[in-house]
Amino acid sequence: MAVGMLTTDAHERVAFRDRANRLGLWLFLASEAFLFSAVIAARFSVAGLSRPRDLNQPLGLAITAVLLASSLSAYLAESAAVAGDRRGLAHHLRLTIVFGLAFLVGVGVEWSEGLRSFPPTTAYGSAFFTLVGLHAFHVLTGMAALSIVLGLTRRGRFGPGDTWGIEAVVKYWHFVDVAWVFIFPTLYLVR
Amino acid sequence: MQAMRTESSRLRARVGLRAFAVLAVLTVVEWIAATRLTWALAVLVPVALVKAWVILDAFMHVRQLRHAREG
Repeated sequence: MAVGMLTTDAHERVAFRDRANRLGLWLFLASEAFLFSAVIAARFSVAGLSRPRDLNQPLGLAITAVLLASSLSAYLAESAAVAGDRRGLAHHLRLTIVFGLAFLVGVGVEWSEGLRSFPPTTAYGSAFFTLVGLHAFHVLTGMAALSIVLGLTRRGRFGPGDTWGIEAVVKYWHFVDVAWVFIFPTLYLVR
Repeated sequence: MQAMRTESSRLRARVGLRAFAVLAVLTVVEWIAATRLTWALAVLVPVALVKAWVILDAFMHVRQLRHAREG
């Protein structure tokens, strides 16, 4: 009887911890959404609807495609974790990190072009470098988190039913994608 | 058990691929609107909102939050 009560208590504690973890993560993502919204609003306040003529729009489209593909691979990594497929999990985590790296290379090219065409001293340039820089920093931290999860996976962590670590990192990665969904039109398409 | 997991994994992969296809099509719609329309903002804002919802719903399982609150 006492053992049964203890087991029920332990189950309840685990269930509560999972709910608290999930709610905490969503609250954190909501606070991040406020940050990105403020900087996006600043772009319109500082530079209106204008954008430079020599802005590399095809490059913006290419890195958008790369980031969307990274969201798919992150989702497949989470699916593999749920199914207990360790190899699939490691493969898709690696793929997501590679996509993230490709995105950052694209941002680097974009910045080198942008520094010549619309430096941060111009209205559009200040909005562009702040917004893209803030987002690129999030991509970088997401890649660091994915690398940690990949390392832990190789060491045998995360079995079926113990996927919270992966779920949290993957959700953060998707959030970075959601932020870009608004940044891309804000910087590259609006006029 | 293993067969159920494989089936569930296949189903999830299909959901992911479908969401990715929708996102790709919507990105092309954004691009066309931005390059062809004079006032693209009217198209860009709703399309961005739909894209964000697709990611939140299909990839981030935002609807789980309601179940978590109930459970």
